[in-house]
Order: sequence, then C-alpha cells, then structure tokens
Amino acid sequence: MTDGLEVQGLGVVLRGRAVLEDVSLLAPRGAFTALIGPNGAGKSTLLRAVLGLVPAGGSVRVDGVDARVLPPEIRARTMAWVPQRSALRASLPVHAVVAQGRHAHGEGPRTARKHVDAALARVGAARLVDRDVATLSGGEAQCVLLARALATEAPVLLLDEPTAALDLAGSLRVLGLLRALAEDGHAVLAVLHGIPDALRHAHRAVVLAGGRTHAAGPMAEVLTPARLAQTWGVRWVEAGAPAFDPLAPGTP
Amino acid sequence: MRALVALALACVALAAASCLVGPGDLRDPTLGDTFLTLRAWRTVAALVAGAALAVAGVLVQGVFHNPLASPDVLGTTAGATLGGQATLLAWGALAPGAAALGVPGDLLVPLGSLAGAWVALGLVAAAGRLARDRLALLLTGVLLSTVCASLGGLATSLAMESWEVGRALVAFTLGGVDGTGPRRIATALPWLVGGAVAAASFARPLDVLLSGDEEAHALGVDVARVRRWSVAWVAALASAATLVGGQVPFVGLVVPHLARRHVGHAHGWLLPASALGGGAFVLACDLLVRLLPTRGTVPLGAVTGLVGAPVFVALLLGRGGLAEES
Repeated sequence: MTDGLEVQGLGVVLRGRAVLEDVSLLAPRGAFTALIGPNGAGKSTLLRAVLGLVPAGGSVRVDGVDARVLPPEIRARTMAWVPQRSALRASLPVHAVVAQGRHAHGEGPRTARKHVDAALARVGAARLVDRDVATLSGGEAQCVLLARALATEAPVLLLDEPTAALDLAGSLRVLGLLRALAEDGHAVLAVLHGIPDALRHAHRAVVLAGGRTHAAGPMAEVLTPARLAQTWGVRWVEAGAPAFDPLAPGTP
Repeated sequence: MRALVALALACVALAAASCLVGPGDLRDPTLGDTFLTLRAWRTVAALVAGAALAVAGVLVQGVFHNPLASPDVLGTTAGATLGGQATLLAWGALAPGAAALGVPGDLLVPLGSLAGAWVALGLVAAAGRLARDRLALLLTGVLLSTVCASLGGLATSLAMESWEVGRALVAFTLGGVDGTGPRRIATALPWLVGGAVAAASFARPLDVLLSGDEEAHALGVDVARVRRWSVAWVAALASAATLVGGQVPFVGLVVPHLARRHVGHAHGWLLPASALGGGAFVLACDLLVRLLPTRGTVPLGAVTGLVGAPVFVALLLGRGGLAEES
C-alpha cells in the first residue's frame, strides 16, 4: 500500500477522442509532486478524472483505498481541489467561501469559523476574511481557493495551475506553502507550467504529454535536458538565470 | 436579521389589512363572522401560495445556476393548470365516480391539478434522465409548458359549448385566492410543509452549489441527488401553490432576486426571506385586486404579472443586473 495518491491505468475519452490513455502516477504523502507537460497534454483533465468529475477508466487510490467508491463527503475529506478559476459568481464574504470546505464535515458557515480562520492564516490571507470575493484580485482569489481546500483537511491536495494568476511574490509564497504542506504530510499534486518553479520547489515530477505519462519520479531523475528536448522541444541552457526568494515580512 | 423581521412585520400588517378589506361589513351581527372567516382563509391562501412559489424559485435558481429560472419553467405549473382544466371538462364523467368513492366534489379540481403537476414532473424527469443535462431539463420544462398551454386553449374552446363549464374553466385558469377554503389548503399542506422542510435541508448544499457543479462535487455535495430532489420539491410546491391560488406568475422569479439584494446569497437567510417576501408580495397583490375600482373581479395572476414584470425589469437594469444574483 502507498501512502498518498496512486493512479493506475487511467483513461479518459471525451467526445470520442482519447484525452488520457493508461496514465499511472504516484503522489506520495510528504512530497510536492509537479504535474507538468506541454499545452493540451491532459493535465487538468487528469485532475478532474481523479476527482471523478469526468468518467474515467483505471483506478484511483488514496492511502490504498479506492477513491471511486467513497461517499461524496468522505471523498471530499480525502482529496481537495483548487481549480484554476472558481465558477463562483455570487457576492459572498471570503469566510463563507472558505467555509464551503467544511461542508463535507457537516459544518455550516457559523460552526466552521475556527477552521476558516486557521486556513486563511495558513495561506497568509487572514486580512481578507470579511472581504467580498467579487472584489478580490486574481491572486487573492487564488489564495482563498487554496484556503478552502485546506479547510477540508484532506490529506491529498490537487491544484490546477495554482500560481497562474499570481505575481512573482505571490507565486513564491504559494509554492513555498505547497512545499511546506507536503513536508507536513500532505500529498500535493499541482499542475505547473513553469519548469523553473517545478525544479526549484517540487520534490517529484510527472511529465504528461499527448495524454500519456512520459516520466514520473524524483525531480532530478525526471526533469533532465534529454526529457526537456524530447517533450517540449527545448534546449536546457545553464545561463545563470536569476532566482528569487520572498523577503521576510517587514523587510524594507 | 433586520430584513427578516421587517418582512415578518410586513406580512402581519398586510394580513391584518387583508382581513379588514373587502366586500361586506364586519360589524354585521349575522354575517360579520362569516366575512372574517372567508377573508382569513383568503389571507392564509395568499401567504402560503406566495411563500411556496418564492421558495420554489430559490430552489430552482440555485440548482440550475440560472437567474431566469422559476418554478414555471419546469412545466409543473402548466401541468397543474391543465390537470384542473381537464377535470372540469370531464366533470360529468368524473363526478359520479368520485362521489361513489367518497371524494368531495370541491376537491376534484384540486386533485386533478395535483395529478397534472405530477404527470408533468414525471415527463420532465424522464426527459432529464434520458438527456442527462440540466439545460435539456429546463428546455423540456419550457416545451411542456407550451404544450400544456396549447392543450389548455383547446380545453377552453371545447368547454365553451356549455356556458357553465366554460365560465368555471376560465375562472379556474385565471386563478385567485378568493374561493380558497380550509379543505383546499389542507390538501396542499403536506406538499407545502414537505417542500419547506426539504428546502431548509438543502440550504447548505445550495450554498456550496454557488461555486458551480464541479466545485460542489469536489467539496462533497451529491449534486445529482440535490438537483433531483430539489426539482421534485419545486414541482410539489408549485402544484400546491396552484392548488390554493391558481396561476400566480412572476413570484418565483422576482421575489428571490429581491430577497438576495437584502439578505445576500446564503440560503439560510435567503429561503426564509423569500418565503416571507413571497407571502407579502402575493398578499399585497391580492389587496390590490380588492381595492381596484373595477366592475368585475381582476384575476390575481394578472396583478402579480403587472406588478412583477416592471420590478423584474428594474432589477435587470439596476446595479449589477441579475447575472450574479442566482
């Protein structure tokens, strides 16, 4: 049995076209696994298939348990999803949105407040608690969705391009947070577009291309110059590209 | 909370006014009590019809993520009306059989309405199961409403062969709460209570559904189950409202939007606010029916439509429109 998320032979056919074929991957607890690949590789579909949002063949197991047979509430307490953008269009306070993450625990907005505050504090967005989500920037909204996922207390976190709407500082903070969450025992599987981000922050990588797994394993073994050339058709250049770290709070 | 108290007070004030206004003198020593009883039942009917339609509107807008959805779009209101019309048309054949079974004559039409609503719901549900798509479900409801309206027109033209049947059929189609008594309200009561309890139990999943079907699914909501049962209870509420008040358009569409403006989107507040608002709205329209200086009786449905349509347009053109309301 593997602790964390284990996908075996996953296949998805949409409108007669095979979008994913025989995809297998492992996102163990304690590791931040980057799901990377060219555009149209099927990365977002893979997350949706794991969550049961699209019909899929194959098996999805969490800590050895078949996730497909779990009742909705138990599944939501096992795997949390951070979509690229929320479909939420209503005008709601941030705490009510984060409280949606407690629905699977049978808690409503009032009873969930302690977990809501803790989740917002964890993503560094405690100051947003009473703001209307409709007034948030893209980056702030992304942090709120991440807080909602943390509020579920699910051990497996599935994130679809969590840094897509974030600026440089916001991206670094979220990627650092994902790594910390993994080191706290979560299994983190995040779709990332930036290879440098994946190289710097993730422990493991799964490379998806053309709906198939090209490689999966520890980062150093997966993201190699040969793999970059084969999958993306690019050359690895050691040019001393600048790297960034977030400043400590209060630093001028 | 303040909005709920204000709405409750509005309902009490309108109910008191409704009991005081109307033909007949309450000080009449022989008929005063009768007038008061008739007006009290009329008041209760207006309150429950409005509340049922508004709650059904919140449910249907919530599960379909569609600000233009209302209980009417599922076809059950039209089905209930057609059921009542068909019962009136076949009165001669049905009445002796019903009497033999011990069914009171005044319950035949309400029961026909309920049967019509449930046949319509069955058809919509079957179409929804075949298509597995919420848009297909809505379109089937709209189509069914049109078919029922066409068949209703046919029934009306057939009924015109007999003056009494024709008049009864037109009066039934136009609707109203003036003739509603305790027996009809009692017939509708199980559906009203069941619908209210079901709506309250759906408040939390509906809150999560504000984030869309996929996010709600991922957050642990059994979306298909919530939608299936919401549709069934919307049908029950709409048919119960038709039973006590005939066709009362616009309430299920407009009142939830008005309530959202004052109490927000959280269904724990939105459902009671809409119930109170719907009751107050229909009660106010029924008072208007009685106060209008006309020779004949103005149908309640005509007044709710005439008041509701401009309110809806104002909401549509007002701050933010309706796009982010449901």
